[in-house]
Amino acid sequence: MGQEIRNLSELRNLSDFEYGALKEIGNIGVGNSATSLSRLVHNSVQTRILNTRLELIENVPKVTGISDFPFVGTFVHIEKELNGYILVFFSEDSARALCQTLSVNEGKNLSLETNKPLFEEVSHILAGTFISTLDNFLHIDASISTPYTAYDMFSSILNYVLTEMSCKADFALIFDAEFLVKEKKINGNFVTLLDPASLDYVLKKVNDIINGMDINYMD
Amino acid sequence: MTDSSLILVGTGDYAVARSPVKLKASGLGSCVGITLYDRETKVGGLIHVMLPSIKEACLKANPASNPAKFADSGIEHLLEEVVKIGACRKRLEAKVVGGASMFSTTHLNIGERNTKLAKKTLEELGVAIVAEDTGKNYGRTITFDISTGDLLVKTVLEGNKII
Repeated sequence: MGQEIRNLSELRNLSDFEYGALKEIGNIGVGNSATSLSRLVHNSVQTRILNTRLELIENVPKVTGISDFPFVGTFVHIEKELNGYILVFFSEDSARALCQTLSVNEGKNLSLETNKPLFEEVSHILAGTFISTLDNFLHIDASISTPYTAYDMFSSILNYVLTEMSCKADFALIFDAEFLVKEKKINGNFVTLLDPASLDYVLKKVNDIINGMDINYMD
Repeated sequence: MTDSSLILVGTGDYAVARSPVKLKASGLGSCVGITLYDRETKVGGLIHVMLPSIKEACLKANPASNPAKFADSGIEHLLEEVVKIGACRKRLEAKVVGGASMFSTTHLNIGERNTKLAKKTLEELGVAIVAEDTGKNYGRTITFDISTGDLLVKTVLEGNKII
């Protein structure tokens, strides 16, 4: 994928329509992920899109918020036609509640360290659903890597991924969303980051669809 | 002094201050926080760098990219700034914190490279490193007290300590 440099003046050229389209794509993806989660926990899941923004990578924490509280965080790398990351966070309490909901045995082990594979699996399912939605909807061929989990401060987990991403890009498109399983008191954060080249590709695919539908859109 | 002001230093950012201010960098993962301090005049600065070298950066110098994002250019910049507000270059002492790799995937090894380059840059500039807490597999939040030069390192897994 070509590495291009965008500067801020170029960023402002994203039209309202393009932002709207991106928001909608985020909505659909997160909605489908919520359906997956709801099947896993056998409860209704509420979602909320907190932000859809294009930002300098170093400013991403200002969008998602900064927290020194411990979270279980999992990330996957988005590969192939898109390039980026998906992060899934559960606060300590939510993580324990999720373990309790998903463990089969009675003698429940709620240690977050030993339950890492469980969070990896859940996050992988959520991220996978998000990405396959993009495939169904926009015909984008992307896949996700194996998941990696850590139990640490929210900010430092995010920081790790941002550092890795900043090696190759200056800007990131952020979809920041939230899950809530009211009955189980599970609250999760779902953060998707795409690099500028992927953003262009997504927008190109959106335009393809619009042209295919024969709707004249004037920017 | 409990009412001293606190300045948050974001990723790829820096701050310099005189006593009795505190500077805080939240959630250092593979990023590195570097402090410079002059004990006599009680002047110091903190920088939160993301990447090792501006020269090796994959993206060719982008006018929008800031020097504080990189260890080499950032430390040089921080040094100039603390000297501007009254630190004596010869008395400066440095502390280096961060550069962790919390995940089992470490093919890029940015944390380690950040630490290495930060230390190398400090050495080249002739600034003594008086304390460090780097590497390992956990994130850190640091608070730098300019009135004493103490650096509080908070972690989730390993507790807190002052270096």
